Amino acid sequence: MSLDRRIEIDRLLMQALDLEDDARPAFLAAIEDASLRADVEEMLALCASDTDPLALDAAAAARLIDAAVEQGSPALSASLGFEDTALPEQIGGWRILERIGQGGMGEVLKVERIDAGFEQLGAMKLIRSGFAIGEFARRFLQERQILARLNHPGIASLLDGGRDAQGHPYLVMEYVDGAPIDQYCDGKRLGVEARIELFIEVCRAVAHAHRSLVIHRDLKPSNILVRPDGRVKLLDFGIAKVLGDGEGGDPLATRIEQRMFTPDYASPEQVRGQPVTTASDVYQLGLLLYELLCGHRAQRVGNTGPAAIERIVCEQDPTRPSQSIGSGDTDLALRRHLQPRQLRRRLRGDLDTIVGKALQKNPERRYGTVDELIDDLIRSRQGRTLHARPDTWRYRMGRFVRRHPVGLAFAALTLGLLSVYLVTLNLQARALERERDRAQAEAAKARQVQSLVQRLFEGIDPDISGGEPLSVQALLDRSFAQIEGELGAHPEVRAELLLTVGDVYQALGNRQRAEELLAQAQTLAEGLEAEQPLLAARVYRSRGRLLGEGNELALPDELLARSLRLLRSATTGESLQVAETLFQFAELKRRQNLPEQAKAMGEEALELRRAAGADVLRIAASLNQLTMIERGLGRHAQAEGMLRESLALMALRLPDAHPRIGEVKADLAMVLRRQGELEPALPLYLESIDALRSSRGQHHPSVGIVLGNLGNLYAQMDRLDEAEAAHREALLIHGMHFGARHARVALAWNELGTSLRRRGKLEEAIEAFRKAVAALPESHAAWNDAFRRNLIIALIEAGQAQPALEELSLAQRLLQEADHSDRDLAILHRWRARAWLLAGDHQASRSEALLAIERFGTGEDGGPALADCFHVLGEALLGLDKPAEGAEALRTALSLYEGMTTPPTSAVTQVRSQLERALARAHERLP
Amino acid sequence: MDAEITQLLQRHRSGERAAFDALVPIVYARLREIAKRQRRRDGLGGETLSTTALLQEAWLQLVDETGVDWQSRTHFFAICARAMRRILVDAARARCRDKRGGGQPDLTLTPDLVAIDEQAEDILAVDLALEQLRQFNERLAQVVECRYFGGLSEEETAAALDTSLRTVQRDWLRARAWLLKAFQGEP
Repeated sequence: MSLDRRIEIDRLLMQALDLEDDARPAFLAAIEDASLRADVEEMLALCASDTDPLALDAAAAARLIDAAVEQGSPALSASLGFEDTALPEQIGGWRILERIGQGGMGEVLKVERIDAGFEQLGAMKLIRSGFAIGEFARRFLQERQILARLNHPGIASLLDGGRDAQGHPYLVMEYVDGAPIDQYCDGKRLGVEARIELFIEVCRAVAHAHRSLVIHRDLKPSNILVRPDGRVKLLDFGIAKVLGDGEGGDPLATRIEQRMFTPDYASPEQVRGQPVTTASDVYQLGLLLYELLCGHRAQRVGNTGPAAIERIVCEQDPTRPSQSIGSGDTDLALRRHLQPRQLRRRLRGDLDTIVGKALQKNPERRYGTVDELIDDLIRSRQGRTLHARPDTWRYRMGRFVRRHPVGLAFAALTLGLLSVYLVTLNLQARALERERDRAQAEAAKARQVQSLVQRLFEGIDPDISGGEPLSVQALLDRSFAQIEGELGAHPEVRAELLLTVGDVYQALGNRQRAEELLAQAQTLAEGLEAEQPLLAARVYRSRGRLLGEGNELALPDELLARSLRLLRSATTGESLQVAETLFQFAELKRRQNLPEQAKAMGEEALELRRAAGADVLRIAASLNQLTMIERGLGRHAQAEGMLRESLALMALRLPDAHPRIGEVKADLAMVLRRQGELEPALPLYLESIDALRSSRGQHHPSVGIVLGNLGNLYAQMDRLDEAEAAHREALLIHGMHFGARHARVALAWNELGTSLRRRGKLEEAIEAFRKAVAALPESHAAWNDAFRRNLIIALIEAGQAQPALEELSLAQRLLQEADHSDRDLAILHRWRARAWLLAGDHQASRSEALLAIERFGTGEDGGPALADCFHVLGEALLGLDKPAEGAEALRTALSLYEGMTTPPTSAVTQVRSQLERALARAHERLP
Repeated sequence: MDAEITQLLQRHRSGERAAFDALVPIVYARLREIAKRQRRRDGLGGETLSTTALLQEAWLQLVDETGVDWQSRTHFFAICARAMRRILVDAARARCRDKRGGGQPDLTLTPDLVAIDEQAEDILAVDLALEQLRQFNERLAQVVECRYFGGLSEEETAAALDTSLRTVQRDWLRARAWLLKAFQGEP
């Protein structure tokens, strides 16, 4: 076809296309040349064709270029300008050693300082393209400023900067000999904990940069090196943007910066070209943590176009870390010293939550700062509640139970039972398929329970609940109130649900709500007692237990007795249910201070549990209960054996750091201490504190209590330095929870004071006793006496007569206001006698001593206090220059001391020497 | 160099046709440089942005960096489309040459590679047909260049070629028909 003919056809085609469709036949008919007409008609048909020859598949085209480059096509490499440029020998004061890599801003060279007099290696970043001029040079200089601002061991530091012979700017940074963090971890086969440790180091460096108003913007494994000594170094603040400064810069440059990112490690806002803040670094840290834990990238963009990048980065939620581990990932898990199953379990829960929070698409929903991310990682390690809220109820339940493992584990247990019940109902429904009516009823029941359970948990989804995740309590409040009304049709289902939810409320500490539900359950259960005795028995037990913990008197007894009766008469072996009711009954009796009855029931419960092979933790619970009962009976020796067995049982199932284990160890230590076995008690206290600290937090109130007991043990062992330290630590913790004025705080000050006094640190002891007195709330006035007496003794020992006398007159006033015995008065007079003696008023001292002796004398044996009174009297008489009477008083003191089973040696020595002096003086008087 | 581009663009807008041809090699070189820079950046971490995405990005950067005004920018699109055509054709030629001259049997198992080969042949075919088209109607060839190689929309093409949307739509239909005819093979 000639060119002229094409031009002619094209001209006619254009005219035809300009016409309306119905005018075209006439136009074509007018073409005289039949072959020309045929060609135009053919072209018109092609115009109308649906087939599009011109669809350039962008992805395929891209791969075409990539493939050609990868195959090393010289033509294309030349076409795209990938040829190497020769390196000069030196730039500035640096000798070029080799090219390490080529980065977004130019090349990276390994260099060595010339003429430094010492060996110094550097990594030189050099811009060698034509773009080094203008905006890029400006950005390069900006990077120099940024780096100069950052001074942190985790960030590669800036050594030098300048321009080369061609005027290209360069920077020289600390040369880091290390491996990218991902390769380092895999190469060293680091476990999950060690990986997190390393990751926290990275976070600390990034947090430092943020505090210096610098965002990294391109955090990825290749930018984070780990040196052979295990230290982390962040490289390449190449696209870092200075917060605040960015706004003043050239908007064009800002736009260019915004386009520069690594797709696999890009944050959603980077991809969208939105402003990038520290939240972007948090996101990239999340990607890094994901990769370190799971062994693959959270987002894989690969060879795709901008639309796909946007979809993957901005819309797709990455698979949860725990779910990304397949059972076939043996190598991957092995690099973390785990089996795939173990790795999955390790990641499930906290780590899923933390990674999920860092990887929120919306920057505002991520961690607000890197420090918060660090904090959550540390909290997770300590088993404490995270700041991050998980998206699923499962997490919430798991966390809840771990934090309150003792009573509240019950909440999870009963929710679990609910699911089991549902399954049972389903199975039942299937088994009874042939009995059509019955089956239908069962199926309906199952469906109803299922829908109720579903609706119960719907509220836990933050999307449905309006953004705020709900606590178990809020969940129940919300959902159960709604569905409660629909339960009427099946009293059995209704009773079961009321019981379950009531138990959960009880475990959550909402007794009022629990009582409402359990009372309803009881009404239903009474009607069902004949058909469903087990259900009724469980309902009575739960309500009995609840009311027993309150102040109800007769009702709990009656309910538990009914429960027991039903269970005992059951035809099927329900020994575990019987045991549970007996256990609760024993609790009730123990609280009612009927230890003998409690003991009988508790022992039967334990026996039944042992015989039926109950869960070891339930057996342990029985043992712990019996321990308390025995201790209530004053039989500590029995307690020891049971506590040890309980501990061994719990160790089978619970980690060392479990708070229940911590508590039982503390109990055991106390029992040993009471038996005088001080050395064996010590490690138990220490382990107990460790367990409580790591499970409940460094400063949990229980830690304070055990520390106080530890302090007392140390004091008993005469390890007074350690006693003081433990008491001080306990005080710190008590102060956090109870404020300054609280009985526990007061008691701790008193204990600290006692330790200090025994060490001879009298000034500090006085201070501590004063604080003890000040911290004592009105409700505990009974201790006031003891604390004040300690204060007075310390003051006297410190030789502070005047303050001691002031305290004594105050004590006297207080004593007169309250009920008091002769002995209380005697003690008061005794110390007044001592204080006056100290003040040098022998007359007053003598009369107080006589008053004291008189008071003691009317009561029983005065013990060392009475002896001391004669001692003071003797000294006072000596002071009054009455050596003969003094000697007589002293002799009485001595005989009282010597009559004791263990005479206080120092007092005896003192009295003896004074007696000798008195006798000598009396001799002088003799004519 | 940026000043040179701006100047050539102004000359082109004032009607100097030769300025367009002078611009293409300069823009091509600039695109190559940006592509190379980004290749290196991506090559370092091993995360490769696809080359098309990369070129699109480079293209936008080039527009930003040269600071051309909006009107010149539309012309600029046409020039970039031409440059893109050259890059793609170079790649397609490299691909086809490698395939023919390589001597190894071609075991193409993945659909991806099939697509690449087909794409390479398509590109060469379009390039060839476009040359024929250009001989009798240059504007039709330009429309194809903008739409096919430059990925411009009808509106962008109209702006880039200083013509109406209606004309571009009609030209696109005609150009497409000519290419289809060329692919069907001449008797």
